[in-house]
Amino acid sequence: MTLLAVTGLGKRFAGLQAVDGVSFAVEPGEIYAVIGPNGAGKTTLLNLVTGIYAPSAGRVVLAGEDVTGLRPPDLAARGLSRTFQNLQIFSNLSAVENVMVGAHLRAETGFFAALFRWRGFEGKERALRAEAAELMRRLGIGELADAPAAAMPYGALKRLEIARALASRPRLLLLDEPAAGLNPSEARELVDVVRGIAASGVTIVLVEHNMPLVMAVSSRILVLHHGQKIAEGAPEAIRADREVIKAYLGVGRHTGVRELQDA
Amino acid sequence: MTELLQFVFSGLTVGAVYALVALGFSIIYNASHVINFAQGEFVMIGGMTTVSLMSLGLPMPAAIALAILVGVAVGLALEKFAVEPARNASVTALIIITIGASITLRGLAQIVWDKNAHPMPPFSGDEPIVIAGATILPQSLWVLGAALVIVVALRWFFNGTLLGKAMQAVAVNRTAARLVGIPVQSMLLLSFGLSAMLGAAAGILIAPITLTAYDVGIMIGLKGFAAAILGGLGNGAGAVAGGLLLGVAEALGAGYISSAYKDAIAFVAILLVLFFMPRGLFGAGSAERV
Amino acid sequence: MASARSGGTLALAGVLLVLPLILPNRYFLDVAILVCFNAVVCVGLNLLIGYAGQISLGHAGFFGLGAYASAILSGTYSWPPLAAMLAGALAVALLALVVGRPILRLKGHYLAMATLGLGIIISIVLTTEDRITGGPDGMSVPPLDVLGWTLSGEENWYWLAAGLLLLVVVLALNLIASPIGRAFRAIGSAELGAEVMGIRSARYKLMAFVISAVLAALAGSLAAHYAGFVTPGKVGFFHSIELVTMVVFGGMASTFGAVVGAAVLTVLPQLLTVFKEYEIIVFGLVLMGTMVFMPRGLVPTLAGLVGRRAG
Ligand SMILES: Nc1ncnc2c1ncn2[C@@H]1O[C@H](COP(=O)(O)OP(=O)(O)OP(=O)(O)O)[C@@H](O)[C@H]1O
Ligand SMILES: [Mg+2]
Repeated sequence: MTLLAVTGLGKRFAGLQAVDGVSFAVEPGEIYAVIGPNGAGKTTLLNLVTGIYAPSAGRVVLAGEDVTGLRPPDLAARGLSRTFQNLQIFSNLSAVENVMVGAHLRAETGFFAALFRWRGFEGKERALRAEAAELMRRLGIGELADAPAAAMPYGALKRLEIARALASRPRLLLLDEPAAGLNPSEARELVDVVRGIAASGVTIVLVEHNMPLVMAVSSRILVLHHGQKIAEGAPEAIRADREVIKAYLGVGRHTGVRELQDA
Repeated sequence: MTELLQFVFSGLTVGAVYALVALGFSIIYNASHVINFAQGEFVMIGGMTTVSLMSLGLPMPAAIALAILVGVAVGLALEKFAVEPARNASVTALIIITIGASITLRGLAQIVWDKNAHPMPPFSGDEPIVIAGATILPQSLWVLGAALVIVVALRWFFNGTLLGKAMQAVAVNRTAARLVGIPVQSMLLLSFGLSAMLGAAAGILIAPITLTAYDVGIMIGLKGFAAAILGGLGNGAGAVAGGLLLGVAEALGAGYISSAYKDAIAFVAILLVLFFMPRGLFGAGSAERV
Repeated sequence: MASARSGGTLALAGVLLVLPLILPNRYFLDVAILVCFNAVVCVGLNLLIGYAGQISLGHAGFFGLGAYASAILSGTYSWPPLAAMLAGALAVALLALVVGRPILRLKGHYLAMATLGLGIIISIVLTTEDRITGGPDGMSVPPLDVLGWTLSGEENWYWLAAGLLLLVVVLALNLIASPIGRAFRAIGSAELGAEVMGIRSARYKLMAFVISAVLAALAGSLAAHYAGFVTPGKVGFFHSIELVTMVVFGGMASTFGAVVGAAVLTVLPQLLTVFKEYEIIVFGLVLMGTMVFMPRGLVPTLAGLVGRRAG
């Protein structure tokens, strides 16, 4: 069954149609990429799917259930997780605690159990911490487990967000520009990270400007321009699509058409 | 009907003072995102300085002019020595800093002057004027008139002068303003000076009606903050509307419900407004960007 | 982490144990008792302000409601003091639950305004309803009597206050290190991120609000019984500001910071009396100076210095 089905989704900000009648479907096990020039509406699309904004039009269906308009915690409970382009790090927690927060829905204890550390509380916490540390190791930031998040370098924070999202054991993971701000070798490592996550059974929606990464990992690509879907298809088809090339030529910076072609 | 008109008159008079103080809050907030809890002290400084200069024999207009200058000087000093060095402090820390400043200023006022309430003569006569059966003091007309002039002048300043536009640019986007060469730091200083001027003027205008004392700034400051919030923080027209509404609501509440609960009624009204309009009456409802 | 926590708790227990031995007379013990009560309020308030990131400029209202509930129920209506105290705490919990829901939807300065308004409304009601509360003059409160045994004398009161503080600190530290505390801290630093991780932020903010309100009410009840008297003075805007100042001064998001802040700012005015009429000015300057030069507060700044030297 289709995991995520989006139909006619729209979002209007005062005087600006940021997302305009976008429809697509993501099948289980896919790595589904969303690309488009700066300001195309990619982040807004993720915000609509994850319940941060209420859509002005359209529907979002997750595993057959209409989840349009549900709040982020409700969607988290249904197996949705994500990372943020501009990071939403818990800067007053240690790195490993950030990841433990990702497991919040499994970790919740009663108030008095927490106050008095009752009934297997310690054991549960220890297991959670070990699991979080293991996730960090999988993402190559294991040595930073006890570092205060506020003191970590940018590249590590981007991985920390992925680890945190994975800690919720999502069915569907939405990544908003995981490669942005990383150096080329860090970005190359992401190919394996993303593939590894998908191999563990998590379906991925990947928003990204880094074309080599997109072309390397995605099964299908959706292209947004001015909030509208202008193309969708396999990487090779997208690379050759005239509409797509035109859209990128019109913008011509940051994400150049050259990168699109070279990738 | 007469009674209602009477309450509205007195409400508008106090409301105009709240409006000036609220404008002061908004101007500083726009320039720096700081809420200046010492705003009420400018009101006190304006009134007390005028009274004491007049008791030294200075004619009223000179005393007023000097008192406003003193207020502005204190405002500039506050920015320079307390707010500017704490640029990286959190919002809460900045609140504490301005509260510390207001405590210090109040303590100074107790020593420079005393703990008594002082009268100030009205600007022109104290023969009440009768309008449709209700009476209004000439000083109330001074308050309303002067507040109107000040608001119009501020509008012109912010929309019609380069300096005012530069200040607005800082409010909209500080980084962009810096990039186009606006001296952001000076704009901050200016905003404190301007707010202090508004506060001192408000204190001088109202003193003949309510008396003045070292601690008048506390309640007027809180009400001014409330008015600024009511109108939507950072919105100039909202601050004026918030001030007038608050003044009238308070006067009506005191008149028709209970004078002991005058202040409580004002705050209940604000809470109710915030429950339904979390960014005030005229606040922009922009979604948080991520 | 765990060791730092238990180390701090042991140090606090040690100080609280030794204090009555080294304090020269009852006057100092009296100040120490007030420190403990204020610290209990601040540890609670720090959960809300320091950890969950939600400001409140109205907590003196809850402190006052606790104090007056004890005064009125155990005085006017001759309830057993313990029952009065619990009833007061329960009433405050309910009030915080009901008003907290809409108030905590507000953010930043709007939240500051709403909590400030709430505190002022409570203080005006307590001042105005003079037939019940004694108005501005206040009212007397019977001694704290538990099952026929009456608590009296500074020593006994000190042990009660110090014991309560230690208990509250330990429980607060436990809470902060639990999933609930992590949720508070997550909301305090990135609310949206927390929501996406499944944290219902409204629920946790409300929890922190109610906990802090109840602790304030309990401290208010005890302080009222200890003083034998309540006046609206400790209910008003200034006391609210004082409480927030203690939290911020000691260091936000640091439980021991809250205790240190409460101690310093309770003792400081006593010391400043040597400045006579300049007392208020010096107090204001100390506040400003500390926040300008140590915006993160006393304990985190000092801990940072020590840490840097050690590391
Ligand atoms: N909260 C908001 N309020 C108003 N306008 C917004 C808001 N969020 C986004 N926009 C606007 O919507 C448009 C789409 O923005 P969005 O962030 O979705 O683009 P994007 O494709 O993610 O771009 P980028 O590649 O730069 O991240 C932009 O013009 C942006 O300015
Ligand atoms: Mg984006």
